Amino acid sequence: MKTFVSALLIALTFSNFAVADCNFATDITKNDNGTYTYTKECHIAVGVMKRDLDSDDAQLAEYQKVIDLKDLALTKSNANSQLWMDTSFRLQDRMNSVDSLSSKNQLLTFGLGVVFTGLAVWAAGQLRR
Amino acid sequence: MDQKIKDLWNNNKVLFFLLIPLVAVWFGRNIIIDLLVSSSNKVVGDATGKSDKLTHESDAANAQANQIKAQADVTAAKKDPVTEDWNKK
Repeated sequence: MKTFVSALLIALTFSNFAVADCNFATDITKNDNGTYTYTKECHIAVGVMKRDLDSDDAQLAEYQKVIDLKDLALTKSNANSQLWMDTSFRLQDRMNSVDSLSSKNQLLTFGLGVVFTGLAVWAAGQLRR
Repeated sequence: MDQKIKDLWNNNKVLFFLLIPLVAVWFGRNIIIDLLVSSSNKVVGDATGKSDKLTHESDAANAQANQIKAQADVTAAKKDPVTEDWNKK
């Protein structure tokens, strides 16, 4: 019994330090002159709301910076992708040209080889006469 | 023998002169191929440099964004206690 009473007294004592509990329906009184009277709990509750609102606004502002930076990172990444796409197109053009020139050059090399060999044989024949 | 070579040249130099353009074309095409390959290497080199720069900038922006978000979360989690004179501050 003594333990229970002690526990109850402790709970009642420390209840004064509890978070403000405001009943917005009953703890706010409108005065005749147009002002309003708040209980202490409602006053504290409004303070908590303002604190949280200011904190949220500050966090939102920071998050906007985060979004802008992420957008910038995405833009750079997209530009990088576009760069490699353009580079591959330019390289494709060059490789096509090299391929075309190379294949025709092989034919020319073969042809010139045959012609020069034939000329050498003919010239040797001419000189032998 | 020298006279035979001279006669062979004098009688057929037109034919040899006709072959020189073909040889020149062959050399020219090889030079063009070398230039195209060199140009391609330069294109890849330039693109690699630009790509490295863009990657670095993207990573830096991401890192800065993550840092700002972490700081914002820490600041938002800190809730200073509200006293009776909060409206006077």
